[in-house]
Amino acid sequence: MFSERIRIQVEASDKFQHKPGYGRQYTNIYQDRLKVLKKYIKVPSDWKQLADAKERVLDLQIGKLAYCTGVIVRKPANKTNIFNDLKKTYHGVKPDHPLKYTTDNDEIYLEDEHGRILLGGALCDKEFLVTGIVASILGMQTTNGVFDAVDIAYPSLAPISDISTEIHGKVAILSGLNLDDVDHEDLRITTLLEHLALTPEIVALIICGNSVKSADPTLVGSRMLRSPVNGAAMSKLDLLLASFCRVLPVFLMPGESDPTSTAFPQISIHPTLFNECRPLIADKTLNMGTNPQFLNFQGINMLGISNQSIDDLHRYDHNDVFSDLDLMEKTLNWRHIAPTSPDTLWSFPYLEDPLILQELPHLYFVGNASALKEREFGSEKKVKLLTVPSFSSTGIVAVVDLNSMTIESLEIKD
Amino acid sequence: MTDESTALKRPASVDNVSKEKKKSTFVEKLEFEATQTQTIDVGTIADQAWDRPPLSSGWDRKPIIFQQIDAQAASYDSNIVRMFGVTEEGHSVMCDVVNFQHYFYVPAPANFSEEDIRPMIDSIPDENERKDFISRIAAIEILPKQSIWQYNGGNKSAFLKIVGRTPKDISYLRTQIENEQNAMHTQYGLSTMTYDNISYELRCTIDCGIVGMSWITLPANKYEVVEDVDKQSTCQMEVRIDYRELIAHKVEGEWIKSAPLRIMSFDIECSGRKGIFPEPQIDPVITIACVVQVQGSSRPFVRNVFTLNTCDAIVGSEVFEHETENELLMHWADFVRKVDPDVMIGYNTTNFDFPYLIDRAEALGENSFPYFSRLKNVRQVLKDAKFSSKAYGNSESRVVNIEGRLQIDLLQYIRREYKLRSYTLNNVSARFLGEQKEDVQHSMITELQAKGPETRRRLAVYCLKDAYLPLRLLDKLMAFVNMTEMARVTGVPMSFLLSRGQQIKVVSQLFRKCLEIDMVIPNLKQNGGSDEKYEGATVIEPIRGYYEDPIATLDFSSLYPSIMMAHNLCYTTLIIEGPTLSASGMTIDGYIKKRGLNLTPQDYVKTPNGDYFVKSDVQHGILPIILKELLSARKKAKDDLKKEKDPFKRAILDGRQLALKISANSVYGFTGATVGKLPCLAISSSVTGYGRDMIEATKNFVEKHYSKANGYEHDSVVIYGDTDSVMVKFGTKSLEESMRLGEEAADKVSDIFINPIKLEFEKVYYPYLLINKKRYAGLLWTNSNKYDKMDTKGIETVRRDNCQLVQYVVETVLQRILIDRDPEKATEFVKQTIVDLLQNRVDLSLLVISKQLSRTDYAGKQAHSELAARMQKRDPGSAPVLGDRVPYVIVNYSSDKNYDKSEDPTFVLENDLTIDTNYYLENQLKNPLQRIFEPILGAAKTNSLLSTAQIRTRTVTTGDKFSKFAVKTQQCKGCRRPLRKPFDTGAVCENCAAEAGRLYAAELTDLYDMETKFGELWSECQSCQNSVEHDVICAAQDCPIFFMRRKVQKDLDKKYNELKKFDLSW
Repeated sequence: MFSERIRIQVEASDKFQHKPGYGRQYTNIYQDRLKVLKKYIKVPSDWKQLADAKERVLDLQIGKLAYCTGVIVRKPANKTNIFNDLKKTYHGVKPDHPLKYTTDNDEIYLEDEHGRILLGGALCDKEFLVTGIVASILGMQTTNGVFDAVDIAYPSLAPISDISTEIHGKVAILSGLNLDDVDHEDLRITTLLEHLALTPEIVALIICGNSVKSADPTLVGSRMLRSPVNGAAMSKLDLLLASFCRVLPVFLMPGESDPTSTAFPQISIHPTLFNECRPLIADKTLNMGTNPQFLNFQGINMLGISNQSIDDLHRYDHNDVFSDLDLMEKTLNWRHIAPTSPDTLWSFPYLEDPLILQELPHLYFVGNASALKEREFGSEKKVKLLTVPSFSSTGIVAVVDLNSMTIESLEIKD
Repeated sequence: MTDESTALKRPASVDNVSKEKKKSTFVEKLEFEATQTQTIDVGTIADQAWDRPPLSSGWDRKPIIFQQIDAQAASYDSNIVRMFGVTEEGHSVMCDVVNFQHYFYVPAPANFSEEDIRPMIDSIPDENERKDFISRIAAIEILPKQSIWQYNGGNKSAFLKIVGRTPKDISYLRTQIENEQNAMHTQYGLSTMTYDNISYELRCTIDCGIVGMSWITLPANKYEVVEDVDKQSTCQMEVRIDYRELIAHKVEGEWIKSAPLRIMSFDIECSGRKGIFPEPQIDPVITIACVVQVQGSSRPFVRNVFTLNTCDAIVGSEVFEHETENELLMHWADFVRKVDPDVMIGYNTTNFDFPYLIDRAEALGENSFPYFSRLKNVRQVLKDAKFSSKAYGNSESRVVNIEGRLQIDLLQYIRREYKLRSYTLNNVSARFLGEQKEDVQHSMITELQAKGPETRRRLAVYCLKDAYLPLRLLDKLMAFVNMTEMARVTGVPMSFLLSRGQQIKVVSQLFRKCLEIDMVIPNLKQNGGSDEKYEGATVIEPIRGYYEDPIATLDFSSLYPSIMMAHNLCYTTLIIEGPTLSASGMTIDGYIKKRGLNLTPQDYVKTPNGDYFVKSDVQHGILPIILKELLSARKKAKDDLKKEKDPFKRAILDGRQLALKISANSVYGFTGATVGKLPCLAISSSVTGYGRDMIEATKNFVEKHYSKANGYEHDSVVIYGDTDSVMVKFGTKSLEESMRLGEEAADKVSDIFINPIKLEFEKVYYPYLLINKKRYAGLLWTNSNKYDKMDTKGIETVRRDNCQLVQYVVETVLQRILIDRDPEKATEFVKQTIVDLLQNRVDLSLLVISKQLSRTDYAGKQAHSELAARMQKRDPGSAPVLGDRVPYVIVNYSSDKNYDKSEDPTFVLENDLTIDTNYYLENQLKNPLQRIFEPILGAAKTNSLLSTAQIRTRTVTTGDKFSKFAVKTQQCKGCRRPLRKPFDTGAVCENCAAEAGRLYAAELTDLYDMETKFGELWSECQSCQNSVEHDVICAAQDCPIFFMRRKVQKDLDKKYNELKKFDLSW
């Protein structure tokens, strides 16, 4: 009755594994983002009839309806402040990450390669505008140097590939194991392991970040800093991953609390932190992934993110209007995985912006969410959006049928 | 849409549209366009209006009511005081007050009458001299007056009022009379002591009852309008009036208002050559940015930039492009004349912008440039000015005359009013506006100028920001309002406040009061520089220590003014100085008899200093009267302040009460200024004498009354007292109780002193760290629910030659001692910091010290000047030039002289130089920490805290002193032994291979910190420079994160290289 588990060819992109040097600033990212995304913006035809297209925001004239393309720059009132943070770490306090950066009165600008202009008008109230989005804006400059915005156009959706082959199989996705150094066994994990072993149609397991609990910040020298992982939790993970790998291939993505770079995108967790798993890494049963991670299951494209990009966007949504899925949709519409990086989501000073969406995935999942939710996005081009809650708090694993793209919530109870 | 109030709100029309969601977006847009075109008149909004509102016809038949902002003698050979001002409607006024003749007084010889005048003058033997003398006199009157100096029974005597034909004649006549060889003295016994020596404009305004920045009415038909063809000024109204006809309004009621004065702030950028500070003979002015705002309004109505060469548009500001520098300068001067500012402000305008513009125009041969004052034909010229004041120190500067416009250089103002680590615009705006400021280097400015219209725009935006900042500082610091009130209270023109010292303000008040009561002030010869010392305030020897019980503080409010009032100390009440009396060998009775004064011992007092003054029922002193008026005016201003709702009026009232307080306190200093106009040490030393006695008496009373012997639970102790306050430890542990006792003690003590001396309970320190005289820190409580703040005095967090680390450490230590009440935690922190320092874990930017390179020929070798010289040799292009601040750190160069060990922080970063940690421990941290910890731990423990930690870590780091910098010889990350190839690969040796994971994890701590910092730093800098599309070019070395930014880049590169090594270790 035990059928053989199918082996599926999976390509894991190492796009985000590469780290450029640090000798640069963030400017290149914004320049590249604007240059690339600008090309994809097609403004509605009625704009063209009504208004003048302006190459540069500086060319906008007072009293004339016009449109122009640039990067949105929002100056949130409650953004973290390095000057305060510096003092805090010295006073032995870990600076906290503000829950909401924004207020109703933030200044919002449209900036291009040449200059910026303050945006006003109803659009600023009704449209969710965060730093880093590239868009065209229709409006009129008023006497006091404010560009009153009435409409906005984003880049067109990225293309999506056709799925040519039929794949029979399922993929399990979980996140937030949050292993700690407390010596007790989570029976749910054992049950999960058994379930996976007994379910051969599940062809792979994706662990979408936060596998170990972040250690409390500790005093390093005279400063309060985020501390390295504790060894006990990592040993647990080491053993656990080895057990999983005996059953099926595992794709391990790092998350915010995992021991690797903290800047976004995160590089993969270093093999040297494991013992048991080292040979499994070598033979690719255990795949050390990045976050975000692009995976290609024989033609089915997946994009997974542990959750930092969505979490950061929530901090701009001070009235709590949007759900995780709403924000995921928006990133697709913006054609950018995480526009608030590098402004509030610290990043590397890339020469080219790696977070621009070149292609729409067939499955777009975000881990460490509050609940399992799914939604279909797009009319012709269909993208399945999925949020996966943390396993440690819900015991839920998402199981995706690769053929039908249906999602099943597998809840494991104590 | 022209209404400014809608500026930041969205247009209403658009809001309405958005509510009707069902309409298609296309219709929305059409409607939007329609509403916009209706309301916007494109022609008028494009240009910012510069001109003042036009005069209404027939203005010259109505009274002119204006706020005068300046009063100057038009020239010294005509009797004109020229006033400039603005009416409530915003019209500019120049008013020549005419016919006022300057004068002074001389005591008349005995039994002198009018008939004696002529013969006395005729006694001048030389005929030409006599004729000259006579020709300069307009009139001589005999008037009963009384000298302010010494009590003389209250009798007036005959004085000659000598009136000059012109102001210039007065100084001639005075010199003649003061000459002891003059015949009028030798033959007629005319005194050589003259009275009332004061400048013409002050004499005139005093006699007219005009104070600085006050309102004046010129009644209809009493003034004469100057015809356009004859106008000398660019003012809209130019009139003349006889000084007897104008009406000066007292600053009260509606007259505390302010005219809509135009304040223009500007900043210039010059294109310098590499390594040389811009010189006006060579380097062009490339950008001038201006912002003009009406006093009291919240937004500027003009924002513009004058640029050399083309420049891209700037939203909300006008850009004027110029092909030549001459055109630029001339256009700017034209703009100044047009927009006609009443006040010109900026940052370092006095010593940089104004001189540079004028010198530059001269170098370009643009002779018609320097005419932007309100007088058409008066050229603006630079004069070197030496300013020397006891209170403000000496400084040299260049002043330019801009008739009719006030100049406020915010740098000078802030230097006078605040003690700061650094006075760069960056630091000042960080301190007062909570913002860092982008700073662009001279050489970078040249580059930006050369590139193209886009980079020039960037420069222009930068310049605009720098032009706007002084205006915001002026607002934030209430500088203009406070200066206005100071001018009004003391009576001097506002321009005196920045250009003159403290004394003139008291002199002005003294003359005003004297005029009312027929007193005259002797023109004492200034005995140049004899700095006679007298005993100052008392300090009760502090009982040093860390007090965990509440310490109540009792303060004498306005101590010195109230002593002068209580004891009637004044020039007019002085009978004789103690030293003079004892020198004469007379008793006081004998002296009084000899002087023929009718005084009994009940009529006078002997001060603690031994000087004799009459009591107020015999004669009320003039200084006590002035003080009483100042203090009651202050009380009134404070009462009004409580009632007032309007924020602008509140600001005025607050400025007023502050000015009144400062003025009252400066009277004492005036009497003690030995190089001053009217020093009287009998007054000043008696004041401090009484002060000392009172502090002693208070101490004795409190300690005696609040004692176990008197039935209290504890014996109270006065642990410290200084000038006007005593600190009492009542012994109770309860905050409430100590507050109650403090209040009670203040009342009881007040009762034993003469009115108006009053002791007040103000605050409790709990806990309190008393380090030494004038050095303490404590948690300050004014109510028992929550502390107000941590209050420190004399603890070096502001000293400029300290690095940031000292500030952080001292702040943290104090916080842990006072707020956390955990001295243990504080010592732990210090230990950790020392370990950090010795292990090179302290961020370099926290170790940067900076000093201004103010000259090249320092007498002794100094760290910053030596470094500047070394940098000059290395690369003249990037070396600091005169006037720059030189940031440096002390590194481990092999020398025992610290000045040889200074190095450029950037160079240190690039070359991985090691910090001289010993210097930072011994010369930076040690003293301040010692001072804080000694009262708590005692000297021995403190020393061991600051040294044992050092020894301990030294042993730890032996052989691996600078681990971070020693990796060139590839060591194992575990056991530190050198790696041997080919056996050892990657980061660790064979033996440590099992440890690789732990070691890798340990590296991540630093990585997290660095990555977060990198993100925060660079996005903050982008936010500060207001652009994400351009690289940050800021060179503000003052900014706390400047070096951190570069360092974190290097550190991260290094860290990733380190981490890469682990790739081979698994």
